[in-house]
Amino acid sequence: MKSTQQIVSEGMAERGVSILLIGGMALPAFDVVRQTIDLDCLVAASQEGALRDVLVSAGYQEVARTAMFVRYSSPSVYHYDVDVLLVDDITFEKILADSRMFDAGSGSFYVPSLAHMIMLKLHAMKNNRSRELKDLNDVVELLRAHPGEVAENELQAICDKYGPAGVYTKLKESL
Amino acid sequence: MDLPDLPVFDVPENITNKRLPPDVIYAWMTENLRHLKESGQIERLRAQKSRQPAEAWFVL
Repeated sequence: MKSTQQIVSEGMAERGVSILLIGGMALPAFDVVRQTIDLDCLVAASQEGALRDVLVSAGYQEVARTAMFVRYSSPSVYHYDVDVLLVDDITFEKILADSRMFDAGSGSFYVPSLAHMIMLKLHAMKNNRSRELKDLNDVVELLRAHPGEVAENELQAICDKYGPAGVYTKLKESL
Repeated sequence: MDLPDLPVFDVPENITNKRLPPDVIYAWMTENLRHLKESGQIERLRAQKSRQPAEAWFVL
């Protein structure tokens, strides 16, 4: 049986469509490990149909959809839910340009830069406050694992633009 | 309340300092996922508010 990583990475490569691994499953690319129940990925909204074809062909079903998000689920106990965050083409290309390849066990993916990972976490936290505990912890662990990689003034600017009010202070208190 | 004595695991330093290869990490995560699904705990985790997506476009 193919893993979720194999299904997604091979299927998208066969279709020539780029995809970025984000969320908990991308954390090992930054030397941070925690359990996750889904494979989060970032796709250009214009290319979303390719991923849908890949997942439906592998037995996944769409279980939730909003304008900028789709969730797929599989009946297999070995398959992760797949959460798809949609972005515009320009945003996707900017993140892809700063990304790198990472071996996610049984499939290779592009993962965003550390700064882009932090922006995505802060954005999620800002727009769903119930995510704060989990996402703030992820950001803290990312920064602890890579001290100095994001300059102090850059981190503050990222927090101000993408995060909820006061998050920079909370981060500094936690580091 | 009696405070139990907890076991002490003697983990060699060369293991705690060693970075695990990705295939080991992801095999461990997938085995945990199987347990969560087979035990039914996955539904509680899926229902958490923190799993709801942000209702705003991420734009750079």
